[in-house]
Amino acid sequence: MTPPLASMWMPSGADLRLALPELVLVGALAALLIVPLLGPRGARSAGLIALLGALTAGVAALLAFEGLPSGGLEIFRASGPSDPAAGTGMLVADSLGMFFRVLLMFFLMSVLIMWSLFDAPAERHPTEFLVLLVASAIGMALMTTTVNLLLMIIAIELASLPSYAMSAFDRTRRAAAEAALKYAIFGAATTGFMIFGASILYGLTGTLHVPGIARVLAGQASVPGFATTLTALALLAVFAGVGFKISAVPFHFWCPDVFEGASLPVATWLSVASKAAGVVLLVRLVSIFAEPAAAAYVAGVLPLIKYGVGALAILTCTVANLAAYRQTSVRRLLAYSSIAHAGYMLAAGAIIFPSEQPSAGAISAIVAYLVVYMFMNYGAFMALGLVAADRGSEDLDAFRGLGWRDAPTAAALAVCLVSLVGLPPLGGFIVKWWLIYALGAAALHSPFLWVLAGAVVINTALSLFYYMRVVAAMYLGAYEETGALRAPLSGKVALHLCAIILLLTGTLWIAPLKRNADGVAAAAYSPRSVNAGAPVETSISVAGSANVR
Amino acid sequence: MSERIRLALIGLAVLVAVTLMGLAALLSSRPLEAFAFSVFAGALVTSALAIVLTRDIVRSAMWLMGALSSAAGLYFLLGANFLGVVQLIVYAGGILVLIVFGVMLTGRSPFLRFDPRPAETALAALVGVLLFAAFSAVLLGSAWPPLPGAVPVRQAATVREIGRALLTDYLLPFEVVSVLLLAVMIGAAYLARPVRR
Repeated sequence: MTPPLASMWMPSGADLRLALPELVLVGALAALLIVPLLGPRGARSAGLIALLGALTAGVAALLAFEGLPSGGLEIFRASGPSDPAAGTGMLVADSLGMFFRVLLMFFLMSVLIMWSLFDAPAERHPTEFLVLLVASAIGMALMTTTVNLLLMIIAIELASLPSYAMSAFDRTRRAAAEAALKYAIFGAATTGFMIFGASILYGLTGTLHVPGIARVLAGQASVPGFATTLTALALLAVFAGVGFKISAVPFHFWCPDVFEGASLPVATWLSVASKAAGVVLLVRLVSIFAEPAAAAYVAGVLPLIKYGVGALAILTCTVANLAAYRQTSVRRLLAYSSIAHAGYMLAAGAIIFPSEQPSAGAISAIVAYLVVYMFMNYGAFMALGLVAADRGSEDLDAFRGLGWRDAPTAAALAVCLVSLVGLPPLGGFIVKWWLIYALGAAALHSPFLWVLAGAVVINTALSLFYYMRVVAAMYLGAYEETGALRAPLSGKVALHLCAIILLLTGTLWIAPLKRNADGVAAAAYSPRSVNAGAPVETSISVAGSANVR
Repeated sequence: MSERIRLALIGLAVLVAVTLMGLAALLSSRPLEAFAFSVFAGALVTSALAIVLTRDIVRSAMWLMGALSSAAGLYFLLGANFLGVVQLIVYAGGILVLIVFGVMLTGRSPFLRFDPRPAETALAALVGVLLFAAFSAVLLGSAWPPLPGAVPVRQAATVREIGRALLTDYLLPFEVVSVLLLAVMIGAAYLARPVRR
C-alpha cells in the first residue's frame, strides 16, 4: 500500500501555527546570518534582530494560548508508512508549554538587554554569539513540548551544544575554555547515558512515544518476570540526561565552573533558562509516567521515580547550600544558589502523581516558582554585573559598603537576595510557601514526603546565612568612600524593575499569580485526555486519515 | 630477528584462536553464523583491551578502528545493515580520522604517550568493573525480547524505509537536526578561528 505522498509530507497549517514561536526563532536565526551580508553589521543591528525575533515569538506564544483545549493536544502526528508510530505526536501544544515559551522569550529579551549593556560594546563576533543564543532557546522551547524520545534527545542537544560554545565564547580567558571543556565532556557523557536508556526503553516497548511507553509499562504489573530492573535502569539513564540540564547534584560539577568562566549574560541565561527547561521536561516526563498508572501499577516502577526524584532533590539543595558557604566569589555563590533552587523545584517533581492526588498543585507551584525565580536571579546577576563593571571584581569585597555608596542599587539587590532566601514579604517567600504547602498536602498520603518538605525548610534556613553574607558586606563593616556606582543607568532600571516585581508578587499580585499558575497547571497536557481513543497498537492506519484534525 | 619471531608468534596465536572458533562453531546448529560471531566478538574484545592497555595514543586510535569495525560486523550479523554502514562511515571513517588528526595537530611529538597515575587507573578500573557488572546483571536477568503488549518493531529496515520515515513521520526531528547542525557549525567555526587582537 503506497499512501499519497503529499498529504503525509506536509504538517497541517494548524500544527505549524502552534509551533509558530519556534518557527519565528528559526527565522530570526536565518536573519541574523543573512542581514550582515546585506549591509548592516555590528552588535547593534544583530541584537535588534534577535530582540525582535524573541518579541515576535513571545507574542505568538501568548496568542496561541487562546483556543488551546484543556489537556493540550499532540501535534505533528505521524501519518506515514512507519506504522508503529502512526497517530502519535512529536510535540504537544498545551498551556504548560506555551507558558514556558512566553517566559523563555521574555527572559531571552532580558538577557539580550544585559548582553547589550555589558558584552556587546566590545564584542567582535555578535552574529555568532546571538546565533548560538537563539539556537539554544529553540532547543529549550522544544525540550518542554516534546513527547517523543528521539526529539527529546535532539532538543536537549540543541539546547546544550550551543551552550558549550557560548561558555567558551570569550577566547582570551583560559578559565572559559577550561569550563567549557568540562561542560562539554560532562554533557557528552550524560547524553551517552540518556541515549542508552532511551534505546533500552525503545527495545522494551517498541515505541518512542513517551505516553505509549508509559502505557506499555503500565500494562505489565501482572506479568511475571517483569523487567523492573531493566526499566529502572533505562529510566534512570534518561533522567540522568535531564538531571544534567537541571544540574541536579551528582551531575552538577560543571555548573559553578561554567558560571564563573562564561560571560555574565551567558551565566544568567544558563542559570534560569536551561534549568527551567529541564524542570519542565522533568515535570512532563514524570506526569506522563504517572498518568496511566492505575493503582495496580504503583507497585512497579512508580515509587522508584518518586523516591528517586525526591532523594535527588534533597541531595541537590543540601549539597549546594553547604558548598555555597565557602565561596568568596559572588558569581560562584550565585551558581550554587541556582543549583539549590533547582533542588527545590525538583522536590515538586516528586509529587506529580495524578493517581494519588491531583498533580495540579505541584505543577502550579513549579510554574509560579519559575516566574519568580526568573526575576530574582536576573536581578541578582544584573547587580553583580553592575558592581563588577564599577569595581572590576566579583568578590564579596567588591560589595563592601555598597549600602552607603549607592543605596538604591544595594536595596534592590538586597530585595533580590532576601527573595532568593524565601522570606516575606517577597515573591520568593510566596512561591516557596506554595511549594511546601503542596509537599505537605501530598505528604498526607505518603509520609516519606515529610522528609522532603522538612529538607526544603531546613535548606531555606541554611541558605539564609550565605545570602546574608552579601547583604552584611553591603551594609556592615568598614569601606572606602568612592561614591555611587559608575554603571549603565538602564542596568539599574532593570534591577529596580526586578525588585519592584518581587515586592509586588509578594504582596499585591499574590492572587493573580496563583490564579494564572493554577490555570496553566489545570490545562496542562495529559495523555489520558489526548489519546483516550487512540491505542498505539493500531497496526497500519491509512495515511492521511490518521491525521484527522 | 626477535621482531620477526614475535610477529610469527602473534600470527600463530591468531591462527590457533580462529581454528578453535571454527571447531567450536561446528558444534552449533548454524556454524557459519556462530563462526562469524565469534570472529567479530573476539576481535572486538581483543581490540577493546588493546585500546585500554596501549600507552601510545596513535596506536590506541588504530585499535579503536579494530573495535569499531568489529562492532559494525556484529551489526551486519544482526541484520542491521544500515546501522553497520553508518558505524563504518561515521565512526571508523570520521571519528577515527578526527582523533588521529587531533593528535597530529596538537601533540608536540607524534609518539604522544598516555600515562595515567596508578590511582587513576585503579579508579577507572573500579568504575569499569562496576558498570560492567551492573549492566550485565541487568541485561542477563531481564525478560528480553520485548514486553508483552509492546509495539512490534520491524526487523532490518532497509535504507529506503529509513529514508522514507525520515522525510515523513520523523520530518520534524530531521528539520530540528538541521538547525542543530547549523548552530554547531557556526560555534565550531568560531572557536577554531585564531584569536586576533
